[in-house]
Amino acid sequence: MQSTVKRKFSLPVWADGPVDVLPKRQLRVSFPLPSPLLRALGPSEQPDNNLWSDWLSEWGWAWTVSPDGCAPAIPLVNLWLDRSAWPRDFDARVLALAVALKLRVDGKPLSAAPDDIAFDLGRVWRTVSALSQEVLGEILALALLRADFTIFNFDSVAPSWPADVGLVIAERRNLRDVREPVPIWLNSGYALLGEAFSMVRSMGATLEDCQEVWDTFASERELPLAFKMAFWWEATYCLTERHAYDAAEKAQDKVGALAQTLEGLTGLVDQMWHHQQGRLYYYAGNHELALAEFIREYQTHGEDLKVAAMLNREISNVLSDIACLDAAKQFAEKSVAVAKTQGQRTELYKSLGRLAEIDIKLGDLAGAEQLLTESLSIQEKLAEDNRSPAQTLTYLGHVAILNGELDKAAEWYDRAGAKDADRSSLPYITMGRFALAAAAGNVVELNQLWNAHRERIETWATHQTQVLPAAACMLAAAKHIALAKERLPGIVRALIENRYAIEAAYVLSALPEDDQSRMAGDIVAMLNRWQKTLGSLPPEIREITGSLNGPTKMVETIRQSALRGNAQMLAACYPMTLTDLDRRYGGAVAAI
Amino acid sequence: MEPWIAVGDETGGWDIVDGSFGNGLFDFTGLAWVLGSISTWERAIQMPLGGSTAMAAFSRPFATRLPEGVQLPNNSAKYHIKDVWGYCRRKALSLKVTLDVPQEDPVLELLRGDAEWLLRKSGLGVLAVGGSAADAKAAGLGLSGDGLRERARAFAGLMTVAMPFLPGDASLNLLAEGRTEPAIADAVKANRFADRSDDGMRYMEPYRDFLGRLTEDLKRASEQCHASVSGGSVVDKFYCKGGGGMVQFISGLRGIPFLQSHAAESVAAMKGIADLAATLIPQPEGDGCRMVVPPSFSTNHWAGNFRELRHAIHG
Repeated sequence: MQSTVKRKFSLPVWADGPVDVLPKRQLRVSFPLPSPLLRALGPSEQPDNNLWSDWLSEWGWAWTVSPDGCAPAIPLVNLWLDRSAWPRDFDARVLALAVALKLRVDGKPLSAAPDDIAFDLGRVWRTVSALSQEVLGEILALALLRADFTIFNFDSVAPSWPADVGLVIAERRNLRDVREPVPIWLNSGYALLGEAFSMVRSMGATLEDCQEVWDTFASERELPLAFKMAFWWEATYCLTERHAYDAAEKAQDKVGALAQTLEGLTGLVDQMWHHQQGRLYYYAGNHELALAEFIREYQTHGEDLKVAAMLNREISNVLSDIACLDAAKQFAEKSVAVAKTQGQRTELYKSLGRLAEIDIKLGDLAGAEQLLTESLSIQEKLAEDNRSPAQTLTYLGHVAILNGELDKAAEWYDRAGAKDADRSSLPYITMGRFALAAAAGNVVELNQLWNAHRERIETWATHQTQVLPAAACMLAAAKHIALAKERLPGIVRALIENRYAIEAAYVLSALPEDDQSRMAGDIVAMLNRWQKTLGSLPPEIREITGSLNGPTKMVETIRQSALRGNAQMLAACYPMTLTDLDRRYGGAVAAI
Repeated sequence: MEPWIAVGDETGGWDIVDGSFGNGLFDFTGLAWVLGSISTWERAIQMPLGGSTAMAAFSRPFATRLPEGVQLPNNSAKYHIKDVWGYCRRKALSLKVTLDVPQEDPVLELLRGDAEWLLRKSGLGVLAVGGSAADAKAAGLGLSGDGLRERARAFAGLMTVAMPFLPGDASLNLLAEGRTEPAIADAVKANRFADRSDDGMRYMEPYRDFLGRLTEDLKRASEQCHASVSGGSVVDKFYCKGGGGMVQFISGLRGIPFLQSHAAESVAAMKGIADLAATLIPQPEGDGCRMVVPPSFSTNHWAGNFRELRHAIHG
């Protein structure tokens, strides 16, 4: 029976005065909140028959503390509180656990800090007493999944559990040592991390695949909602990685519904469970909502080194897309630094890639090439990561084009094509090849590419992320291929609809005047919305980023029709700049 | 916020002689507060009691209300329960007066009636604490070697019981007076009569400012209370007065016309009520006379042992 960390919480307790002439009053009473509160139940140990003790024992847990260990520690309080008038089954350990589990009372979670609990003891205890075993189990399972040291003494049963959770969920690596500890949820938790996560990562290409993995996994055991949420959270990630955004949306719907149910029970649902929603917003081009989700998560988990690299990169992604390149670079650099410090190689190669793209947009091609080379080198050494380096090879090709090294670019694209087994990088390789042909003035090649990929390009144009390479392909082809030129207004409209405002702005001058003015208005409205979002960022973020006026600068440039004369702004329009017809053909895009 | 008044009195041996607590006559020490807002006091003092009013009953010697033909062996100049105990001893009457049991003896019944009025009818609250020398020592009393100092600590400790429940923005005006002590009390010897042996006399506590001590101890108690429970203000304005000071205070108050116009007599009655309250402390059976308050007899009576206050008695 030992507890190591002492925290405390306070809540109002109604107390009768010692004599009638003194009125009844609420006293704010401080209770100790020892942690951890639970340890593994010993092999022949019996529960103590107090409230929740039997339930806990069924899941393999026992109290680390006695009721007195959780009772008000200030002796004077006993002078003022008539403890005999407290609820008959009152157990201060249960109260402490309810607080540690952030149980919701009248919709608000109990919390030990910073303002302490507003509900009085009677109200809290009524909620605690009415809690069902099923609900307690759901909340405990969620707490287990966040490896909550304040609640569980993992040393008593599975010391590596917190690290394993961090490894598999936060860092998205595979578990090698699947344990089978006695506590039931912990046992199932290991199965979840070790089996279900591995299976969905290797097999989850479609929603149906993911569902099959889950059905198989869940058929063998009874699982709490939190585990189901974690599974679909991972499934969402896997599906977005494979660009299956529609399926990912459906998977995320399950996560959202489960999170909502759990949020109705407890305040323990971390913002991280909304992370995939942020990514989906991002991929759907909804930068405002994506940024809001990521910032919320950053505020609660920004200092968590397990997720800091990923989180900084996600924020960088959004900022980069809305033309706040300096700020985006800061977050990307921080992501790279954390990933290096933590030895998170997967995070590192991704963040190096993001930093490289920002460098390209800032016009630093040499820096970008170096970063992409470093990223590629890491990916080539990563045996455990199934992802092919095709995307990075493609980006190296893009840098070569922008450097005017066309032969080198062709080599990179060939290497990328050879590595792109699942063809997920095809739109981007094709974009590179179109740009390459255009840059070389190879009309025959352009025509061949157009004929070979026209239908694909049309399909890509309807896709929320592939519309970007589709647009670049069409722009590259437009000077020589009439059909491509005809399609330009349509593809710019598609870019705008998918919130590629900066990229769409690049093509504006290639459109007929009517289209130009109408679409310029839409682009400006979108940029203004982004600027407004940036204005509402919390102070701690603004402290990092400094002034954020990328969208406004772009608006001014568009209004002055000065994009073509502004090298800095033009560079920010990458990857459309791969088809920089002004530079390659010495003429105006408007001449198309 | 209307002011509150608390009137205190003590019982038993508060002298410390040769480092020992207690006066050697009997091993019991106690004290009590009677408290209420000024309007509560205003109502209580005017209430009928016996054939008179509470003010009249408690502001005069107990003997003034006795039935014809009944006399007390000693007649103090004020309401003093000690006179009744002398009567009991002389008549070898039961030394235990249980408040829910009518007494056959007219003096004891009169006493019982007074106590019943205080605890059940007056609306005033009674806080009382006591115990043996061992109890006092266990609670941390006696360490200073100064009976005055320890009494102030005990009074403040007892008020701690009520502290969180008193209106935080009210002022608490306390009537508690100095007492006498023998020439051989440690503190008296240290301050005044270093070379005296016991002359059988008692002297008023000299030089040591009982009211100042009490005020300081109450403020410390208030701070401790505030640190222990928040969620509202805790009373921190304490004005300790002797009898004269309290008369002056009441005379200057508005909204309590009866008290104001009968300030001196009211304060005398308050002292009498406090004297009675100091007998309403659980005491062990022994040679001394005692009153017994049955459980649930009153919801305006809190009584305990010094040991219960050990965390409230400040060092």
